[in-house]
Amino acid sequence: MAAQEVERLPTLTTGLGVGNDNTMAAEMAQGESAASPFAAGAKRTLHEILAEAAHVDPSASSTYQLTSLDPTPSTKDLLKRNPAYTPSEPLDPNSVGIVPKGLLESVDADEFLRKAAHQPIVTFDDHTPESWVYPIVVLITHLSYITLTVFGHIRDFFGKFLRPQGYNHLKEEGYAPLYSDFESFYTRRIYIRTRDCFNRPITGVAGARLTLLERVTKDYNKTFQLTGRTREVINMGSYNYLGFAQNEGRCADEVELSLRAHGVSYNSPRAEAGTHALHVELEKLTAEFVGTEDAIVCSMGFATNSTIIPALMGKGCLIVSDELNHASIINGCRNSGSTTRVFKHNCAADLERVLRQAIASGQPRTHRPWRKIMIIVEGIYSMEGSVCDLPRIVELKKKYKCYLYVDEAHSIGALGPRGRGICDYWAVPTTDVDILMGTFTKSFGAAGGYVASSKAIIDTIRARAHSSIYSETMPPPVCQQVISSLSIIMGRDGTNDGLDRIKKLRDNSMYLRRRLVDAGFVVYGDEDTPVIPVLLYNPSNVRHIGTSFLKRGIAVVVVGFPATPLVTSRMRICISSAHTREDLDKTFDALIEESTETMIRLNYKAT
Amino acid sequence: MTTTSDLNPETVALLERGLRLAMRAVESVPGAPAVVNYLSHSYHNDRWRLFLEILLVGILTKYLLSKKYRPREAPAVVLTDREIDQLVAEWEPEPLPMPLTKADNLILDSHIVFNGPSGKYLAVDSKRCLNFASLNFLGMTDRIEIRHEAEKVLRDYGVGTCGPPGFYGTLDAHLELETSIANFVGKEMAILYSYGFAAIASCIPAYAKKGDIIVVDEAASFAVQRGVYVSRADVHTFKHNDMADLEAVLQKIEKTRIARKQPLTRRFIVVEGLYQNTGTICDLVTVTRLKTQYKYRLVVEDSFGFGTLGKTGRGAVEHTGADMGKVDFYVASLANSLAGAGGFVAGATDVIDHQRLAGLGYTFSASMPAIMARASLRALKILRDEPEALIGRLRANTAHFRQALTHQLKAAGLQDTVELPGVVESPAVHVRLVHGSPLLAKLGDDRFDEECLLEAVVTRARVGADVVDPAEAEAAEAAFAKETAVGQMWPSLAGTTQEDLTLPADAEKAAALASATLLNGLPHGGVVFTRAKYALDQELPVPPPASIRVVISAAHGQAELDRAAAVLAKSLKLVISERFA
Ligand SMILES: Cc1ncc(COP(=O)(O)O)c(C=O)c1O
Repeated sequence: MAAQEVERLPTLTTGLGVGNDNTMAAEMAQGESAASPFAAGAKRTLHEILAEAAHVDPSASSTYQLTSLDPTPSTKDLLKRNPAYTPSEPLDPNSVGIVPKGLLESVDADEFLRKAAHQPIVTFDDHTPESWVYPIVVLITHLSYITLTVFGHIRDFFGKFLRPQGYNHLKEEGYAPLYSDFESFYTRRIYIRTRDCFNRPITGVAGARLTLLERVTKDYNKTFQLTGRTREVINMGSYNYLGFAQNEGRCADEVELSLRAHGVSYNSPRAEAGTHALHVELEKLTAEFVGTEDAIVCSMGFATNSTIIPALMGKGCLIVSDELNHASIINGCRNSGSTTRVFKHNCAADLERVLRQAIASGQPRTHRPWRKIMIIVEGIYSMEGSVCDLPRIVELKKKYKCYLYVDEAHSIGALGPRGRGICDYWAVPTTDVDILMGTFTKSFGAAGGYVASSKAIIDTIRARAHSSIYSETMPPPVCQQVISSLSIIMGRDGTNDGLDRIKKLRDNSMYLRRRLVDAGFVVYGDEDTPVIPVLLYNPSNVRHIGTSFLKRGIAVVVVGFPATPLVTSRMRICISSAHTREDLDKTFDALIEESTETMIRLNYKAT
Repeated sequence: MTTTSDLNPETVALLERGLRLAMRAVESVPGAPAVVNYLSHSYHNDRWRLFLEILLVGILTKYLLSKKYRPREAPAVVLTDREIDQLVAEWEPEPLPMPLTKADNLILDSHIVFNGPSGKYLAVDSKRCLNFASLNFLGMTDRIEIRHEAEKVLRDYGVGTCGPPGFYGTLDAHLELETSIANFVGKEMAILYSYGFAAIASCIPAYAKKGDIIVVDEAASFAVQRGVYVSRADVHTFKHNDMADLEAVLQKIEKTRIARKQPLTRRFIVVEGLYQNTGTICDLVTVTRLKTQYKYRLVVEDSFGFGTLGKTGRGAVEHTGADMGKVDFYVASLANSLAGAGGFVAGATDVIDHQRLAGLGYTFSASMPAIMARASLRALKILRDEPEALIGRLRANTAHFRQALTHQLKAAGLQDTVELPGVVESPAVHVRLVHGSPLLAKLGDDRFDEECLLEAVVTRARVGADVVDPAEAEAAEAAFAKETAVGQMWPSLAGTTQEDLTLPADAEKAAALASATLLNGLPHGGVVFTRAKYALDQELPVPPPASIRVVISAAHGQAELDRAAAVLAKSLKLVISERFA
C-alpha cells in the first residue's frame, strides 16, 4: 500500500526523482532508509523511466490543466540538463517524451540521471523579463524611491521647525543619536508608509487560515490600536510547509501527554543539568531522518547558526558564503572571528573563482595558508525560492578540499521525495555535506534548530557551542512536537499521512507557480519549491498588494528595499500542504485582478 | 605668494556678492541650507580652506568615478592557473572538528540526562534526586497552574508560530506578555526574544556600531561579551564592580576624545544586575550617577536578578534603589525565574521599536511559541500575587543554605579550603576552592585539575551512595510522600496522576511515558549540583574561576537545604581527602 503511494508521487518538475521512487519505495517497504536512492536498485533504461514519468495521478488534476509545462520531461529538457551528451542522430528538440531508440540504449540511465541532476532546471538569471516594458518599470521604480526620499526630506525640513518634539531622539543634548540618520530616515519616512503590512498581530494557529486581530491607526501608522474584532483570512504567509501548525490531531495529543509527564520548561543549559531524555530521543531521531551519525538541537534556529559556526571556525579560517545567506549565518560568521568572502548567489562558477583566489593568496597580509575553508549555503533561499545547486557545490568542495555547511531551514521537510531535504532532492549522499543544519520552525510546526553531522563534529559542538553551555534548553512541548511530526513524516505512525503531506505540498507548489508563470508574472526561484516570490518592483505596489490582499481575505508577505535589492520588491507566497486548491485559486485570481493596476505581469504574452 | 589681504577689495566684494546671489538660489532647494551654511562658515573662517575643500571634493569625485579595483582582494602576485592548481594540490586543511581538549571531554562526560519534569526533584539514572542545579529560582517549573495553562494554550495555539514576528508571527499572547513585563519592570515597552542568549546579543549590536564606545564590566557573562563583540564597537573594560575604575575609564575616554577632537559617538555602559559568574550585585546607584554625568546609555542585563532581587522581584534595580528611569535597556531571561523560554529587553517605546527592525534575533527568527509566552505570563501573575511568599522564601532559603553550608564545612574542617564568595542575596551560590590553603597545597594551578576535582564532588553528591545519611534519606522519603499526598505547596508532583497521563487515543504511549517519568515510583537518590561551565578558550578576557554553582530555589524546604549542605560538605571532604591523602 505504502509502496504504491510513493510510486505515484508526482514527478512533474524534473522527472529526476522518478527513477528513484521505485527503488526508494521498495526500500521503505523494507523499513530501510538509504542515503542515496542511486546507491542500490536494478538498472533501468530511460524508456522505463520516461514511461513512469508520463504517468500522472488523475486525482491531482483540477479545473486548471497544466498545459504549458507538461509533466513529461521533453528531450530538450533532458538534453539541456546533460550538455555533455551529444546525440547520434538529429532530434526534434520540441518533441515531448520521445527519445530516439538508439540513443537510449547507449546511456546508462542512472548515470544519465545523476549527471542530469547537476543542472538546475531554472537558474536564477533566467528571470529578468524580456518585455520592453521592463526598463520602464525599472525607471519608474527608481523614480518612486527618489520621490519618496525627496518628499521625506521636505517633510523633515518643515517638521524640524513645526514639530521639533518629533525629532528629539535625534538630538538629545550631549548624546549621539541612537540610530544613524539613514536608519531613522528610512523608518520615519519610508517604512512607516507600509508599516500596516508588517507585524500584523494574530491569534490562534497560523495554519491554512489564520485569525487576524483587526487594528486601526489614528496617526498614520505610528501607533496601532486593536479594535477587539478578529478576522479569518487565508494564510499565504507562514512557513507552515507540511501543515503541522495544528492544535489538534496526533501531534497536539502527544504534546499534551508530554506536558503532563515532563512539564513546561527547564531552566538550565544543556551542559548544566539541562539534558532531558526527550532531547536525546529527538537528536537520535533527527540524525536518523537527515541521514547522519549524530545531531544536536538548540531551541532557536537563529542561534543555531550564530552559536554553532563559532564552535567550528575561528581565526585564520575562511568562510565562503552565498551573498544572499540569512542574517543568522552572517551573524555566526562574524561571531566566529574568521574571514568571510561572498560569492554570487547560487553561482558555482563564481564560487570556484573565489575559492581559487582565496587559496592562492592565503590569509590577508600574512599570506599564510588558511587553516580551513568552509562553504556556507542554504537549501532553499527564503526570499528567492531558489534551490541550491548542491551537486556542483559538492564537486567544488571536494576539488578544493573545503568543508560544506548547508542551512536547510526551508528545505528540510519541504524538498525531496521523502521530505528529507536537499540531499534527498539531489540524490547526493549526506556524507558529501559536512554539516546539515536546519530549523524546526518551518516544516515541523515547532521551534528551534538542529545540526546533523558526524559524531566527531557534533561532539565538538556539544562541548564548545555557546548554546550548549550558556542558554536554556529546548522546552519539552517543543521537543515533543518535533518528535511527533518527524515520526509522522517518517511514516512511523503507521499511516501515509507524512507522505501525503509531502506530495500535497509539491502538488500545491507546482500548481500555483505554474499558473503564475503561465499568466505572465515574474516569479523567482526553482519550480518545485514552496517559496514563491512574485516580483512587484514599484514600492507603491508593496503597500498596495499588502493591503488589498488583506481586503480580499488573504494574508501575504510583502518585502521591499532594503530587505531586497532596490528594484526587486516582491510578494512572497509560502505554500502549505494544508492549502486547498480553492485557496490557491483565490490567491491567483486576486493577483490577476490586482495586476491591472500594478503592472506586474511583465512576462504576459497575449496569444 | 599671495595672501588674502593682497587681493583687491573690490574684487573680493564682487565675488562675495556673486556668491551670495548664488547661495540664495541654492537655498530654495530643501536640505541645501545646511550645505550653504557650512560653506559660508568655512568661507568666513578661512577662504583658502574652502578652496582646498572644493578641490578635495573634486578629486574625490574623480576618484570615485574612476575604475574600481580592490587591492585587498587581488593577490600580490598574479598566478597562472597551473600555479593555482598546484597550490590547491599542496594545501592541507585542518580537520573540521577541532580536536577535543581535556576540558571539552570533561564537559561532554559530565552531561547528565534526566527524565520527567525538572523542579525541586530531578529524575537521574532512575533515581529521584534533589535538584540544586537548575536555575529554577522561584520554583515556577513546579507549579501546576502553569502546566494547566500550557495545556489550554496548546489547544488554542498549537506549538510553533511558523513565522517571524514581522510576518504573522506576532500573537496576542506576545503582546500581552510584552505589556505585562513593561508594566512590571516600570518601562514603557518590552520586546520578546525567543532565546535568552539572543536578547542581549541582539540588543547591543542593534544600536552600537563600529566606532561607538562600549564600557563593560570585565566579569560580564558570556552572552553580554558576545553582544559587545559582535557590535564591532570599541570596547573598554573596567575592573569587576569597581566604580572608581569605571569612572577612571570614562574620564580617560572623554579626555582622549577631546584631545583627538573626535566627534561624539554613541556610548554605552553595559553591566549585569546580579553577576552570573561572581554572585555580586552591581552598584547601580553609582553607575546611574556616572552614566548621567558622562552621558552614556546604560544596559543592565539581569537574568539572575530579575524575579529574585528587590522586594517585589523587580531585580537589581529595585534592590539597589537605583532609578529605573536611568536604565535605558533592561534585559533579562524569561527561562530562569518565569519558567518560560527566551528573554526580553525593556525600555522607551521609540527606542525599543527600533529593535523590531534592527534586532537581528527578533526580525530574522520565528517568534516564541505561545505556550512559552503564556507560561511566563502566568508565572508573572503568580509573582505579582505572592511576592512575599516567593521572594521572601527564596531569600530566607538562600541565607539558610549559606549558613548551613558554612556550618557543615566547619564541621568537616574545610572552612579554610572552601569559600562562598558573592552576596547573601544571590540565589546562585558559587562554591570555590581556596588556592594555597593547607589542604589544597598539592593542587596545582592547572584549571583542568581543579575542574576535575569539582566534577568528582558533583558526581559523588549525585550518586549519593556514601554521602547520604540513611536516616536523613528516610526522613526525606517520608517528607516526599507527605508532600505528594497533601500536594499543597508545590503540587505539580501530586497533580500528576496516572489518569493524567492517559489519553484514550494513545493509552500505550501514555503508559510508557508514565512509567518512564513519574517521580513517585523512583527510589531516592543523592543531590544534583553542577559545576559552573564555561567555553574556556572562548571566554574573554579572563575566564571566571572554577566553581560549583549551587542554585537555591523557593521550592526547597529547610530540611532539604540542610541535607544538600551536608551532602555537599561531605562530598567535598571525601574527594579532597582521597585525592590528597
Ligand atoms: C535560512 C535560515 N536560517 C535560519 C533561520 C532562523 O530560524 P528560526 O526562525 O528558527 O530562528 C531562518 C528563518 O527565517 C532561515 O531562513
